Amino acid sequence: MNRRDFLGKVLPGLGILALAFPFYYFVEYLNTKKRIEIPIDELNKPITFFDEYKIFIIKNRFGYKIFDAHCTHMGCIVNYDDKNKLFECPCHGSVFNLKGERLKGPARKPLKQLTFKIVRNNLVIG
Amino acid sequence: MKIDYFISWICQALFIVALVSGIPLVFAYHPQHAFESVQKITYIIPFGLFFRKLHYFSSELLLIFVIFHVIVELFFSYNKPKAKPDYLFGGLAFVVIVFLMFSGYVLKADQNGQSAALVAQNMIGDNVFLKYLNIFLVDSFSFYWKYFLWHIFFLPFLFFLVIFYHAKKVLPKVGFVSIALAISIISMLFLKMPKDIPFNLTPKHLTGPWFFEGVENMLKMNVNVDVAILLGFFPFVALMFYKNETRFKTVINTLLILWVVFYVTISLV
Repeated sequence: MNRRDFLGKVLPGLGILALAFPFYYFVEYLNTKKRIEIPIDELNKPITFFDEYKIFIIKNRFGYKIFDAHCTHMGCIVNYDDKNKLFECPCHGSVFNLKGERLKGPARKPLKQLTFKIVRNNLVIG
Repeated sequence: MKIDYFISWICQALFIVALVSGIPLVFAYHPQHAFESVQKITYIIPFGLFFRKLHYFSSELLLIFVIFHVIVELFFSYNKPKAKPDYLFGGLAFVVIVFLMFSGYVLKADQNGQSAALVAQNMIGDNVFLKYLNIFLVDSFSFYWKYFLWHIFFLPFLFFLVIFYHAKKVLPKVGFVSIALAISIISMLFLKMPKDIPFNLTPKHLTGPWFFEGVENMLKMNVNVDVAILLGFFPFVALMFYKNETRFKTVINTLLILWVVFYVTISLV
């Protein structure tokens, strides 16, 4: 087998592998169930950010509110400005209030609020 | 040697320097603990910072020289009866370099890298035609795993493939590699690499790579995502359909000049 024949056989194989690999991950991704459990005891501040899940949990006298920390414009992680009590996107400047409503910037939708249940002193999301 | 040949050879040599300087980094980089491994490369592993800087500056210089190469070829080109340039593969090589640099920017895995990836995924996801491509980027287990594969394997392989059809040669001359290495090291000595932004800081502003600054600013101005993508990638599309003998050459050249003025202006706003 000369070099040309060898490359002719190997390169299409690599091409198929390159396409199959992300497809495998995609199928695996579809089969993944996302369920988050957070002990209520961990929520000792009015607003807590969970970096692992990219969520904000707001604790007030009415109970809890959970917001997805991804900005609804382009998906950047918003920061919480404790001084002004606002969520601010560091990428394109969208600003949201504590209800998740958009106040200014290019985002058109409010922050996504996540539904949850309280099960055995845990907040269960998803 | 004419300037256009010199720039072409330097481009290929800079790619080799970027590729070789990236090899030691691959062994120390772990997509599951991306930010930690970048910090380890930078501050703990011997010569880690040297190779990271060399990789960074050779890549930046590569993009700058590719831009010079395009300008010289389009606006100051001579008749080249023997070497007929292939604009389709040249344009594709340009796109591959931009994506290589973008994936490298993401892989530094600080707040800027993470937000750049999120913005890219959302832009692609918002587009009617491109949204299906997100399966090649989004990963449910390790955020950086697919970017890592693109950066170290698929995109370099694709680059070699398109550059082979574009330039008919893949390996550059040794003399040019020495020049490329020298200018990369000189840049390392006199210029600073942007700092990584760790996750315990809350920065007021995050930014993407400098060549996407115009697209970022268009998004801030609430320009439609599809329009921003189209305007950002206009020169690549124009290059792919560019031919020396086309009767629209003057029109495309004028549009490209107008695009440069527009993009530079909007990047600086």
